[in-house]
Amino acid sequence: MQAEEFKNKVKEILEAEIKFDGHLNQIINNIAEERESSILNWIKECKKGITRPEPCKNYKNLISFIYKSNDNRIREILTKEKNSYFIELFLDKHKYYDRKRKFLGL
Amino acid sequence: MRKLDYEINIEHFQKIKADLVPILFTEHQFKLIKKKFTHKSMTQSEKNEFSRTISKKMKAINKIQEKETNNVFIYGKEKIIEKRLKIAKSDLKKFSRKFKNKHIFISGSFLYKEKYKDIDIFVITKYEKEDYKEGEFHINYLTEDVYSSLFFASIRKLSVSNKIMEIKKIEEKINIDTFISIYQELFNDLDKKHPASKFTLREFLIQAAFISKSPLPDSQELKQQLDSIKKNQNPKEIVKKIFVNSILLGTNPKKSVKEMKEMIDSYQNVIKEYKQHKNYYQDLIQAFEEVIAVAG
Repeated sequence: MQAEEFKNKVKEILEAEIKFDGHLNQIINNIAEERESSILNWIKECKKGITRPEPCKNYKNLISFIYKSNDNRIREILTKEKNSYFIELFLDKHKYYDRKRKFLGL
Repeated sequence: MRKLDYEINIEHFQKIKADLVPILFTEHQFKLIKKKFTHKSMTQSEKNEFSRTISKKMKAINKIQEKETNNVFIYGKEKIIEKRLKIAKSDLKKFSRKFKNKHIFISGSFLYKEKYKDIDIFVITKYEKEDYKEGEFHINYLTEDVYSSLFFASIRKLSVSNKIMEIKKIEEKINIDTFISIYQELFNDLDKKHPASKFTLREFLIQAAFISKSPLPDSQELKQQLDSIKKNQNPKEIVKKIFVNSILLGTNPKKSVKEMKEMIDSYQNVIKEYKQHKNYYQDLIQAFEEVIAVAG
């Protein structure tokens, strides 16, 4: 799946015009289909409320869902406004994920 | 300014002053070295003297030391299995040839444990690179900023290196916020039984030692702590206790109570929207409540 197609699927699942951050294009264009579908399943679980969000200390109105791949190489942060809509999907490697976590106060 | 290719532990330098002055350096030169390595300002004539005479002597001493130790520096020798040290020295030579002019060190269970998974080789590089496996070797690339990290301060305690591994000031920002973050991440990992939870637990334990102002564990001590927590039937309970104790021991009570109250409020808000996860959140915030109960 190409990055654009992946982004459209994410928007479809979340029923929202969300933003994307991190080296998402690069990662999506280089990962196996199995991994892509695992990420999309996780997004479905976020939407359904099966996955647990964490509060963002630096942005009191936001909550975030965190995904770690089993090999610990890919990390994702899906941000949502409390009691409202999804805002952004961040997808990147460990180092950039740490920066984003600190930024959000996770 | 050009970076010096040698370093000095100034406390040790002061202790051995009687062995150095006047045999190697004059009293004046000794003072200049102290000035230089405590980053005090120097006049132009002092700078000239430093580069003309002192620096040359220092380089020569460094060369002799490298020659005598054959470019192998051993840390935590008492814990390293003798036969492994021999192998480590030879592996270090092999990888020093492969990664020319790079700082390389070996650490991990290979040095102190009969049974080991792989041999961890660490290579310091300017840019990030993907780790890889080469037979029984696991090549881990680290960037230069690792020198001022907690991870490095811990791992250097038990390692075999091709360069002197100086103790540096920790510049990585570790505080109550980062500790709460790693606690939240670990709690989630343990709850999900995530395969990467051992890495999060390792980071949590190093931060816990730092926050509580305890000595940082070396890799063997860290492995022992990790194993005993993972073997326990309820690792989350132990993690909560470590979290509470570290906060109580090492942080300002007023500040920690304020932070804990804020965290509880945030989670109470999340619970309102995600009632289905109430039990998990209540379990997690129990540690925050304990800190308030004791410190407040």
